Amino acid sequence: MPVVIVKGDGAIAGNARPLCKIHGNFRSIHRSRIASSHVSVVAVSETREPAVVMRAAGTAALVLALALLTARIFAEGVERVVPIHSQFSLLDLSRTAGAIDAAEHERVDVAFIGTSAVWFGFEPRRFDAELAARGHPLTSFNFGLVPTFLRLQRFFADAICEAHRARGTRWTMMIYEIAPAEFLDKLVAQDLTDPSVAAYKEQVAAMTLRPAELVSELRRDPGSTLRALLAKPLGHRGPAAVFEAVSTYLYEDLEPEPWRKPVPALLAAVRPFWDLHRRTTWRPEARGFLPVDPEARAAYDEIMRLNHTERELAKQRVMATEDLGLLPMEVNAAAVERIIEQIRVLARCPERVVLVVMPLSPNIMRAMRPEARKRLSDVIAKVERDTGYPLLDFVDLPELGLDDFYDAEHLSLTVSAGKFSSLLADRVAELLDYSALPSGSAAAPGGAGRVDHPALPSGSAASPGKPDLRDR
Amino acid sequence: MTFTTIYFALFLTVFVVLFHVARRFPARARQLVVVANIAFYATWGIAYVPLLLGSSILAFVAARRIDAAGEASQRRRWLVVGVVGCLALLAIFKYANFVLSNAYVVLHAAGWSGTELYSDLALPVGISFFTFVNVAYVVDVYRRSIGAQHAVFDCLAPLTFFPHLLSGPIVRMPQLVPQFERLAGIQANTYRFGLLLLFLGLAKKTLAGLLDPVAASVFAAPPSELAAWTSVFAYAAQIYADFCGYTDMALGAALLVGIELPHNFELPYVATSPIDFWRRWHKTLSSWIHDYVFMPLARSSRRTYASLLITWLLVGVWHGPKWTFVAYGLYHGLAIIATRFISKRAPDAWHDQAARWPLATLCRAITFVVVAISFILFRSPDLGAAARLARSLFVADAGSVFSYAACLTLALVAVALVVPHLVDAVIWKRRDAVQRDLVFWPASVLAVTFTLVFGTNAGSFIYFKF
Repeated sequence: MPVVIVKGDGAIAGNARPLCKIHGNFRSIHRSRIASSHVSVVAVSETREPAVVMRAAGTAALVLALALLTARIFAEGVERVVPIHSQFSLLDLSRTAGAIDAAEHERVDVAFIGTSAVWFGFEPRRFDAELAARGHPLTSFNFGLVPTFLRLQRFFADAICEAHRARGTRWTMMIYEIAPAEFLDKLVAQDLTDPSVAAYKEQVAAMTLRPAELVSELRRDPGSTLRALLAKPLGHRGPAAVFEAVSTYLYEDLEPEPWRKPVPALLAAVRPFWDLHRRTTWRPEARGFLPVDPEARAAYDEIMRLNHTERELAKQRVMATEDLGLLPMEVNAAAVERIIEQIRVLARCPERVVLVVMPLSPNIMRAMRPEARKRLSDVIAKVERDTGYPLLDFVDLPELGLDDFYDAEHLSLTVSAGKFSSLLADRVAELLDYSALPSGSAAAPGGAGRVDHPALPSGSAASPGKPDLRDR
Repeated sequence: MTFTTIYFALFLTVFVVLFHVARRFPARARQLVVVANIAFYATWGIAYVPLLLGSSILAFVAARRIDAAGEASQRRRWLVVGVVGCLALLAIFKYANFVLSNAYVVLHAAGWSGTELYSDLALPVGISFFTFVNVAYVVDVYRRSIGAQHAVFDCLAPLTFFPHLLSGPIVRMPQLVPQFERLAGIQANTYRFGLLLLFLGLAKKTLAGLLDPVAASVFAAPPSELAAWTSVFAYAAQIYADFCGYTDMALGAALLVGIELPHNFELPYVATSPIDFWRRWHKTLSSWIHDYVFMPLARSSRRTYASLLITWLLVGVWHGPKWTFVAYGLYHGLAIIATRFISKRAPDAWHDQAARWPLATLCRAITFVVVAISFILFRSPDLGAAARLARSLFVADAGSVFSYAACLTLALVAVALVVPHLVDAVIWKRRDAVQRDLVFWPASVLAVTFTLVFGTNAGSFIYFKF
């Protein structure tokens, strides 16, 4: 086949003849070898095809590698440029990444897994000190996670559990939060329709993908695994989170002064508090809790003050009614079954399982009608009965007042997280003490967080849903 | 299996490698292409593979019979069999319910008390596209533009070639058959362009996904004039990015095996008139309609405007069995007739002025607005919703709010309209230049980075439903 030789401007050289007659396949002609003839090769009609196919594959792979690097640089740049208060999704994912890393690499005896109610309300160092004082020296971690979506929280709980199983050890105890909102029709409906859930799940799948499991994961679900592999270099900076940060920055932070509407006082107080936390809310030394540093104390106190005005409390009640559906407490039976199933699945990770219902603000509990409270009690009892694990019900804790709460569902980081952790340590110590006693000993004491089960079934030995009665 | 999935990337990689292994034996290579086409289509529903094959084999048989027939009447008979057979399948699967439901409305209004009939046949993906390809093949053989293929695999390989199967471009066999006969294979300077088109297509699809919420939210409930206009422009940007992105990926995938498909877009939003727009937008559909519908109609009836109106009515119906699409076709038909009418009567001086930039820019702006408004019909679920949104462009219930957010969204939509056009202008006008390292690498890396950083699960391509 002839070689097309043209001048630099694309016109065929009038006096140029092909440099050589080439038959068959050839790889390429280097410009340097034909430079003296002032022509360049712009089209070659036949080439050695395997080489070209290999070059095409190599080019595609190199483009992908460079794009991954550029994407990483861009995502990191977004993290640095955009104020923290405008990148909550990135912050959420970085906290999750920290939790997964801790589950995999740190010594964890007691893992408290749950929603942001756990994150705000459980202080591991206080809990450990109280337990140690009662003769149980254990190391606990706060795995309270931010995502609003319940399906995501279950997914993250699984990710943390699997990360720890990769160590080849099991937690001494898993405390698992049962959030009342998880039972509710309203939230379940929202949860199933939000498209961002898939994006977050993919990002966490990328964070938790381990090289050792690559082959088995590829066999199980090649599409998702390859997507996870592509997202892995981004770290915790998933596309949805980066997009949210960029769009929030464009729409809110860059809004010119003349256009800007006055920022509500509460939002104005919240922003500087979060901006103090730099690029993650996972503090390894605090084992997942978020202690309020002296520099952030004033901002936090201001948020607390603004959150307790009569107007805000009324707004919280409306939110609990309309957004969460806590006040009508319409229970979704399928959601309850899913929670029970989830607990059984997670029981593979610890030796013992304890279920906890976190406190709700008196602002909500006082507004809740008796029939709604009855429905809540019934469903809590059902979860306890069906799972067979002891359940500590703190939902209406008389020891805590309105000022102990950040908002409807969250305890105050500064005021009540420590207080609640002490109470929890009390109950957990009783359970640990009781399980060490020979059978026939006295029943556990009642009161708030009453221990309904006199035994701690072993998550390992008991089959899911069938409590191990050896300790009775 | 859409082009934006990992599965397609794997499928394409395996196909390209096997194709180049098999290329030394062209007959085997064409068989491989047919197997790949069927496998690709089967991922959308194995139940519809017989439909694809049935339609294509009908075209193959009809074309062979036309080629072999000695008498004109025989040729015409097989032309009718081929064309009517392919179109009948399209009618049954795509328009049965439309006809039945409208017949019921008419009969019910006339006092008929029977129950409404309903066909539960799902719409096979890409049926409008492969039907047109098959019809064009039969007609081209009848017109002796091309000889009939005598081996079934030689015919099915280009007819059902998977890159164009689902959403075009609507290929003609005279373009593809010589390439499939020769199977020249990949050229060293071609694969780069193919890869670049694949990457740019991905980025355009990502852009379309980002525009979707802007278009969708306001289409659902337009809050103000500004938001309504933003939404209409956002949908214009989205549909271009989506459809052009798909076409780029189709062209890129085909180039990786050395097959060049026809280009489908040529900077459509810089068109200076509705006629010019359809020369630039979905070019392969426009030329198909021109060659196989308008010209025969115009020649036989000698009534240009009536032929134009009927042709554009059919273009609307081709898009889908809904009154909104019928109205979409009519809207464009009327716009084209109006343009033609004015153009014929305009003095020569006006034509000279129109070529100059101030008037040309004004014409471009008017054409863009006319086209963007037509997409209201394209996107709306029914004529009532289209009318409501069209009204809100001028009289909004909430009144206009020129907030920072609204203006920023409009500015971003403008960027989303301009950037793909700039990219297309460069890659298609300076095709040799973009394959140079200095252009290829940054463009490819940026396109893939954009997809990695902002890629969402944007779902299927808009034109798949046709």
